[in-house]
Amino acid sequence: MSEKLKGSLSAIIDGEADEFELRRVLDEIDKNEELRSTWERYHLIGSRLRRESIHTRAKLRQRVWDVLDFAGGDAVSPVSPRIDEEDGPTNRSHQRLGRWTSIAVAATVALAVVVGLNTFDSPADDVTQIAVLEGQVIEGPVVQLTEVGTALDIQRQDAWMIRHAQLMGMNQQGFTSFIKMATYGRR
Amino acid sequence: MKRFGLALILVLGSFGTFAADDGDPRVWLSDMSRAFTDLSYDGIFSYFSGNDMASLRIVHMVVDGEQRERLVHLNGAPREIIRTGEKVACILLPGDELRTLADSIPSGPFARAFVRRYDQISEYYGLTFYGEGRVADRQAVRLRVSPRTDDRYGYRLWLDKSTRLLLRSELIDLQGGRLEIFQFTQILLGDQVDSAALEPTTRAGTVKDHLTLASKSSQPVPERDMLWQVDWLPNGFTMAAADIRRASSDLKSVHTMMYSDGLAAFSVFIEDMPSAGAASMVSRNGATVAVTHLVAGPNQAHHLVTLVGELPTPTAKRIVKSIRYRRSP
Repeated sequence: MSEKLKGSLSAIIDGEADEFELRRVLDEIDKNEELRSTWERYHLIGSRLRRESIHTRAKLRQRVWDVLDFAGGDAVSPVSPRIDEEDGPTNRSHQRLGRWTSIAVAATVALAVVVGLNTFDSPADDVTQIAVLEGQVIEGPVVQLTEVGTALDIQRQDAWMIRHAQLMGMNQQGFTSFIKMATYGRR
Repeated sequence: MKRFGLALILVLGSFGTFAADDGDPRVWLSDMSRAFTDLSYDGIFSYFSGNDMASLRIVHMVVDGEQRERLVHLNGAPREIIRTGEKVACILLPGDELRTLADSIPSGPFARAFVRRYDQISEYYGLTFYGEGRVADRQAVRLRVSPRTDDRYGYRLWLDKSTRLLLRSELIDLQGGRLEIFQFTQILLGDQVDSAALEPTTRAGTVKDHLTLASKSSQPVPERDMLWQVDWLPNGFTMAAADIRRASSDLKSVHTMMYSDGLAAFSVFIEDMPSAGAASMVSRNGATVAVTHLVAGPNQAHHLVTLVGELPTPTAKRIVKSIRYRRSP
């Protein structure tokens, strides 16, 4: 794999990629096995092992939510966040964001979708991806934007798993529920 | 001969309902439940979950009418869980990830729930005996617990023939695969158990975290007072406990709801959206699945709902997607 592609990949992960780099990686990732596995490796290292990447991804994440929920600013295109397909659009005022940011965010998601990381639901994956390739601002459920779990997300789920084990252990006869707690560990 | 007969009567007597309902699996299950709390035992067991295998020791006794229990993780980082009546202490090394994780969410007294109600489960599970087996050199009766619908898991249980203590259990997925195996490899029962074995190992540098069950008198939050509702539940699941808790630091609240069908259970946690955002994601650890999803709360503000339970993923997802904010509580 070319150093250029590698560089673009890193830039995307850090949220620093420009539109050209995004297009190049997206064009390539479908047919380039090596690029795909590199992305996967970057992702795994980034969000599970390396502490500093928590900040990087949290920063990116922060930007998504700023954009979707709270940010204003002089932007190019509106986005209507939605919670769920069935819910329809919310009444939130249209949020605005720079095209560049939206693409950076969408690309990260789209890449994750392409390489098939464990995600929630992906009925709209194709749509999301096309939107990115067309260089448009993402429309669609918010959930589609944040399918990639960061270390923080994983840690939060782990904490709730332990709380569930505690609740079960405290509330039922016998020690069997505490076994999960005693043996808890993510390898 | 006479003495032998007397001893036999004493043994049978101490195991309660041995002869009465020998053929009813429901009775065996409630006996199993009682055996957990009433018997004295000290054993080593293996626990296989997901891709991992662990060895633990459990010591259990009733001392002066109070439940005493000690669970020791025998591999890896030293961990012990000590139960004295309504209090549970975890003894861990300071750097243990369990402690870090537990600290990252609001804590407090645990809501009191009654998760296992073995009398009702035959509506949702078929219960059949299927022969005998031997576990930890003891004779066991095998009991199959099969879900009547494909939205939950089944179990295979090996119950000690004379005391009905659980000697081995398997958690079975919809394809018949085993997600978890618990099995005693060695066990002492009754008078063989020494109360000294209840004392925690003292290790330099270990720390204690305490958990306390809410007092019996404290009223659970009634279901109608909860601000959130679950629109779809698998048949037979009802709310076992509910709780609203505020973390003192940032005044954010966490709503906790627990549901059970008498055997399987899951917890739902609803929290304010973290400022750094969050992912909708699914994780699985053996039989336990965690599903995190976004839900619109008051004023359309995003909230994060996380379901954790021993359920098939599709069931868990469907439940999570049906969670709604109650607009006028």
